[in-house]
Amino acid sequence: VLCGKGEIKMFRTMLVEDNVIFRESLRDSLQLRFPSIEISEAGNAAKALEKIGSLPPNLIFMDIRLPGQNGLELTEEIKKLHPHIMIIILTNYDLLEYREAAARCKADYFFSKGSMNIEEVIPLVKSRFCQNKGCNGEGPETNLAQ
Amino acid sequence: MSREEETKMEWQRWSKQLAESALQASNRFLFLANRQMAMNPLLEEFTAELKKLTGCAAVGIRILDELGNIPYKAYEGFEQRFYELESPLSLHTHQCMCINVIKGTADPKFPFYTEGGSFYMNGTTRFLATVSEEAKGATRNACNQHGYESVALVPIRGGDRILGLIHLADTQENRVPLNLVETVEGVAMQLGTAIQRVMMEEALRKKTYDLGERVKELNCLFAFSNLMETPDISLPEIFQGLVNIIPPGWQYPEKTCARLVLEDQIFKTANFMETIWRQSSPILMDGRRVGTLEVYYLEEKPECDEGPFLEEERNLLNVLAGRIGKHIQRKRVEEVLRESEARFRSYFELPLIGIAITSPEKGWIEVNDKICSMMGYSRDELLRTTWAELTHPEDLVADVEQFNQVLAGHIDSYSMDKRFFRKNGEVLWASIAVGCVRDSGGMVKYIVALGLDITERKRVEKVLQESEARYRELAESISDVFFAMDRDLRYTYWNKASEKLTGIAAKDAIGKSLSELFPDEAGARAARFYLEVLRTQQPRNFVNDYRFDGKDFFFEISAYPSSAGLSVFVKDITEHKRMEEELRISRDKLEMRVQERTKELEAVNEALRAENEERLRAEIELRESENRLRELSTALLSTQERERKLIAQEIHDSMGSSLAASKFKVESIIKKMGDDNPRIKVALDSVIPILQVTIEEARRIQMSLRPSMLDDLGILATLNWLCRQFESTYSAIRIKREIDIQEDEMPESLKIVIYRVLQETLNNIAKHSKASVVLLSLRKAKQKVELVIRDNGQGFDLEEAYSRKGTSRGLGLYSMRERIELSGGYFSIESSKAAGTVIRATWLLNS
Repeated sequence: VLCGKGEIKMFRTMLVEDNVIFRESLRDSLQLRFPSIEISEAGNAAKALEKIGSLPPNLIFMDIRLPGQNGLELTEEIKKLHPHIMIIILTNYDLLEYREAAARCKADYFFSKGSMNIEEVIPLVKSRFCQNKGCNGEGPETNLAQ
Repeated sequence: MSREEETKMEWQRWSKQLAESALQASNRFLFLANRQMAMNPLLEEFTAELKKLTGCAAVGIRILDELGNIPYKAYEGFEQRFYELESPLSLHTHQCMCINVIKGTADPKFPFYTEGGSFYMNGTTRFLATVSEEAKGATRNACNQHGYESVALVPIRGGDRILGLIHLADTQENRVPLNLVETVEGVAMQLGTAIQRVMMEEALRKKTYDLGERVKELNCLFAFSNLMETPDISLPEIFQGLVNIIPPGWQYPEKTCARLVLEDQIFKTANFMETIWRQSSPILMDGRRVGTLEVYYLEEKPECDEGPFLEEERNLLNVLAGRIGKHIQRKRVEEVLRESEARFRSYFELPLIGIAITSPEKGWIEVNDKICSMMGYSRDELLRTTWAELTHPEDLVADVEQFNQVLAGHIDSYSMDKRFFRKNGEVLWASIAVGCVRDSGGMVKYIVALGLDITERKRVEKVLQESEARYRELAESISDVFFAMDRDLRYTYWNKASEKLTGIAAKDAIGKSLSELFPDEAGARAARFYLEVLRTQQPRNFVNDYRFDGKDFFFEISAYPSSAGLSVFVKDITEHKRMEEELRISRDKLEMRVQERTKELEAVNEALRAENEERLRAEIELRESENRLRELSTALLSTQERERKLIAQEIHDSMGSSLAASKFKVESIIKKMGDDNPRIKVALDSVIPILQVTIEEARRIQMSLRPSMLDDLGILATLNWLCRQFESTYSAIRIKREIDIQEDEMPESLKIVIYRVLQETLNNIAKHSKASVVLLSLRKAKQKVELVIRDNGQGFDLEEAYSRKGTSRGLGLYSMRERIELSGGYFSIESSKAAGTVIRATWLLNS
């Protein structure tokens, strides 16, 4: 489904989001599109770091506002440890300042929660997924440069 | 031939023999007597020859000396005992036949005396047997007692005097018949002549010796005179010379030494040595002993007048000591005179004063350098003039008049100030003192004149006189009373005003003392005051009251110490005093009134104070109330912020996320449905934009309540956003940002304050300013954070803005100030019409 050819191997993604409703709906949406991927969840930075430490995901959806350490800081920390993990920042505010902050934190993508269409996410996951599988799909461009 | 005839013949023969031998003896004695010999050998030889001549066992010659003693000067045959017993006889104390004979008391009517005054006895024992014991007692009969039967005593005559006697004695009777005695009398004549001759010779020899000694003395004195008259000889040289000339003047020059001890000086001969044979004489000056002149013999010499010394030597020593004493005295007097002369000369030449000795004819006899320099002449030039020639004509008469008085003997001295002409024609003012020295007849021998150059003093005097005249004029002209006093408080000056005030003329006042002019109590008060000024030498003021003409006056007296005493100004302050008194009375009245008023005022004051306290209390309460209000306001603001934050959070967390989740869900449902149910799909599709708008709305509300960006990204990003948003809303206004602070340098609590201030200010600018550019500056400088928002708008009247009540603008400024100050910052706003507005907020950072 994803690559069109070759086997589908285990792809891990993580949702870091303290709002349970949003987290679940995003998980459902993703699971719906990519039934084979493994989706883990974390409600705060500490939980997230703990899970990443035991089994690093390939992709992380990161909310900015988290209890305690915020998502931007967490992103920066994770990127230092695991530069290969793709991190997509999710926020309520599609504002230049947020985008710049995300870029500064070495996040890969930035999406506004309100205006985000899940369809836009699929190519990103796909590209990451294929890259991970060694398939020759074209790497996605980051939308943070916009 | 009968026995008698035989005896007679024998007697005749013996007599003949005797006469012959007498003749021979006479020749012999004549020879002896004419031989040049000394007394003792003469007598000894005569004794020996007499013994031969007379055949007596004992012969002796007694010589009468000046004291009346008749010692045996020569004898032969007498026992030693006899000599010792008989030799000390004296004419004055003893009675003896020898004495009778020497005294010449032999009476020829007695058979045992000869015509020539000799005594002879040819059987003493027999004879004495015929003499009564009483008659015997008068003579000593020593010869008989010593066993001499024959005794003859023949006087030795020299001219009229009996010089002594020849004593013949023999133990046999009839050894001294008359003719023998008569022969011996002849010998005695010769002997007497010889003795006289020898005595004359001895006397001559003695005189010659004495003369020799006197010559020595004279030589000594002569040498001493020469010594003292030696030119330029010093006293020590004289002293040494003196001791050296002493030994030749004494009897035994080589055994004589001398020493002169004079105070602490000692002079002595080279051979000097102290011995026990000493002669000394004190050296006196003015009756005081200053030394001793001593002579010593170095070895024992025969006794003379004073030990071994002659009386003449004593005299010589005394003369020498006396003369040396006088000489020293004279030398010292000369020394004093010389010093005195030198001193006088040095005084004479001292360049202090001109001194001249002049003649009665007014010529100069002797002048010192000073007078020459004063007169401007050389000494020679001056001595060729007379003082009268050099005297200023105006002073000559007075000087000559005095001078003549001296010459006439009316006065001995005079002094005056006079003028001379110096050689260069200048006038020399001199103060001269003239005195004279007279001879015993009272005539002036010479005149001594002392002259002091007082030209400069005269000049100064003249200047002073002029100056004094000026001051006198000044003092006269001043209207205040002014007078001067000496240290005894005698008036020395009294100006016209003084005369006018006191009615005492200057001539009556000057010379009088204060107590004479003002003998009253006021005068005594003034005197005490003046004496105090004199004592302290500090100017002082003093008010004194006097009574003149039955009226009381008050005077202010100012006394100033001067070199001569006091200068005193007196001001009549009677009127002043009167006014003062009036003033005092009126002041007292006023004072009383004031006191009354003060009491009233105190009461009012008390009331006011109570009121004031009340007001103070109210003020305190008000302040407390204000503080409470402020606390309330702070609480209100922070509560507001907290609430906003909370609501914004709620909206975000619940509404925002739920809406986003709903939107995902709906989208998922649509996705799942596919194209199965187009009608529902259309319906669901229409929900999505609604959700989208709702999400946006929630986000807007949330941001306006409190931008979450502030919490998510910080103040810098938020300000950026705010400005961006503002610019996009008000495109005519551009914001220029100057941010010079790091996010982490900004205290968390300030972030919302800064955000709100900017938000409020931008709102105001947008609404009122009509500005085109806003300058936003946020920076950290040193230990403070400074926010400045400046616009180029039309500005506004601050007072008006603040005074406007109930309008948003005034309130906006108030709340801005409130927020800043509550957060610990300082707020300022500058604005004026057409000059834009500057809002400035500053916070000090805690170190």
